[in-house]
Amino acid sequence: MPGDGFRASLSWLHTWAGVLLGGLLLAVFWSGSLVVFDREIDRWMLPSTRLGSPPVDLSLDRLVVPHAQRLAGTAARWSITLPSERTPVIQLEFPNAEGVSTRRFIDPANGELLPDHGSWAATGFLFPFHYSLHLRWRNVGYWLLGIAGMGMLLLLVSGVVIHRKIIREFFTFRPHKSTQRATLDLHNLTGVVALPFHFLISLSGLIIFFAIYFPTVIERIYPRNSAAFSTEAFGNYTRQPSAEPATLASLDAMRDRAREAWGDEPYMLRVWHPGDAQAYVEVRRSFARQVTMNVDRMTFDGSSGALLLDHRTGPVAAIQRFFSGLHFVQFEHWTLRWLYFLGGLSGWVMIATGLLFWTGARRARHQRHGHTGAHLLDAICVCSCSGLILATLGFFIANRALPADLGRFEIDRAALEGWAFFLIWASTLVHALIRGAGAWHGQLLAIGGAAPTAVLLNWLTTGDHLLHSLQQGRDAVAGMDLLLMLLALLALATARRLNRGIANG
Amino acid sequence: MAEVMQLGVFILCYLAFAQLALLQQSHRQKVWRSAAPAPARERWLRRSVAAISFAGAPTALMTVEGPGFAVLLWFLLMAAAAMAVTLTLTWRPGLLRWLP
Amino acid sequence: MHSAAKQGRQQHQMDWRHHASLALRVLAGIGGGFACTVALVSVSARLLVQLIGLASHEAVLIACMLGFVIYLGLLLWAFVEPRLWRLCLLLLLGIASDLALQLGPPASLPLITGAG
Repeated sequence: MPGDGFRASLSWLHTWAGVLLGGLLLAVFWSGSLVVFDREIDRWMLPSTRLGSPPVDLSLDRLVVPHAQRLAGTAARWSITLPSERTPVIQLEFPNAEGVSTRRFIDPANGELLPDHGSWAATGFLFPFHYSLHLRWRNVGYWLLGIAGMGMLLLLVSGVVIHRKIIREFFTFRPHKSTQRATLDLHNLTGVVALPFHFLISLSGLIIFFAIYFPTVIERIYPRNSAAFSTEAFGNYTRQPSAEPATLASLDAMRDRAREAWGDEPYMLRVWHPGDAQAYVEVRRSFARQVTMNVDRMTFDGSSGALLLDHRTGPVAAIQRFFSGLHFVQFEHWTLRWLYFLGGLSGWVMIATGLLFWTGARRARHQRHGHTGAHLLDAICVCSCSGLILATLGFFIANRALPADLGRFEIDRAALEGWAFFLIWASTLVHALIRGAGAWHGQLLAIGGAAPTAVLLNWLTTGDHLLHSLQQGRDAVAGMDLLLMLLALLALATARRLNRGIANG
Repeated sequence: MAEVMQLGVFILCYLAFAQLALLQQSHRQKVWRSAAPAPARERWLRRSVAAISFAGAPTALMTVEGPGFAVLLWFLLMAAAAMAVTLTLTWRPGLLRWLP
Repeated sequence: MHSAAKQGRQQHQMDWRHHASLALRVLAGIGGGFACTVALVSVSARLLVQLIGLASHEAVLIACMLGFVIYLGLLLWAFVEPRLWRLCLLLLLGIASDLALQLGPPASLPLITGAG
């Protein structure tokens, strides 16, 4: 109990924080691991964007501005993201007539507007799920993540303290012993070997949102003028529109000027109040070759092209942006990207084995005393592990299976994919509540069936089967198909192992 | 070129962790069936090899990658190496007999 | 048999007080700890500006980043500290320090001229 001695208190804390936050943390670590490859998943979910390497030089005035003026002539802002190796298309983002953020993709080779798939894909759905669970009401999602992040730090510190034989058992994993022993070994192993990763990922995630968690501090130091903080720290320039029309100056000229000043490429331009006399254009510098997500920005006047603000990343802002960068993983580094993916999955295994160990230890005791607590925890555990995986597969299958022209019937196709995700997740919870720990087997088998179905649907709807993708150099699509097949194999192997475990009593 | 360096550092960290694992009695018994605890000279030797490898890893990385990438790679490659040594000890402990 | 039931009721009474103290600890640790953290971050940012002459935005960034580590420390202490009164007292002192500084000079002016 807390207060009864250092180790005992932290043991109590570790158990309770784990039980209360385990499901939430599993959702965050699962989506986080997937989102390391969000752009690759996007290629799979948005087939028209499966293009080759983008051209080195392109003209924004010629390729993008005509489309922007046609689609978003009256929008408050245009966000133009330049193509990269991982995202071989130009992305134009703008708020539509209802104020909802809308994305369209443009082929950088010929300026052709690519068909709208009606899908948020990984960057538009899985990524926001990771940092907010899609709970936008009063920032509830961000605060839940804050609790999860601090909880994770507590769990890591308390876990290290209560692990008595941390040195002696550093390389220990005994899968041939009892299930409880093997589970605990795996929990300790994944926790200890990747401890710096788990700690830094959690801390950096929190640091990204510092302004959401400490808004009063900014108000206190910048009384009546909090926007000034954003300008001084991150180079955010703002000014109101004037309602007087004006033509937009050359974006290419602004981009070239920025490129010359930095000696480095820009990655994005943002046009505020396009078509207005008070329009201004932000050009942001790429961070593909560094961890720190620099905030080097040059802001130009929209109608004259004159330089309004040249912001360079200050030393302290660089520290905060280094932490952001080591969490966002937006840099170009394939080895690190794969290591992050494996690190995230190891965190997921750590949390899952922790929950499984606790429910396994408590199940016998709770059954004797007739408590229903263990049953509920069992259900949450299944739902957060195999349930969430099934929901994700449902999302991918819906993406391939739903017809492309639903927009005709005024149906938001992208929202339907999201509904598939949440409805499947909810039904896995119901399934788990009914079947208890027996739900594992059924859901694992379902994963074993759903993952190859997604691969098959990709082939049927796009013609890109595995050999074809590899031949055409579409590594992202091939990688996705391969990992889906691997997931199916792992799920079926685990289901078989579970069966044998039950048969052996 | 950079990938070769990364693989090299991974192997270096793997060997370093293997040295440390082979100093522990429970793992010695898995690798060599009848193993006595390590004599002082062997302990000193293995610890030195491990220390040199662990110091060499980040230095090597810094020369090829930027400092930011080097630090991240170091943490993650160490984690991967420790995991790999553990899995070797679990399923193929005999492989470690070939190490010096 | 009668005395066993009486003992059971006494046990239940003790559990009630125990639960209340645990609930207070959780509220103090999580809620009070957060309030105290916000206060300490605010105080640190002001001191960084006023004593060291750091630029305002830099002070805010450093203080906020440290805030997460401070909160982690307070949370751990909240569950380890055996004396509940000591926990509540020190959290309140932290919150009070921010209020006290608010009554002093405004945050944007460095106290020591010539610094920064």
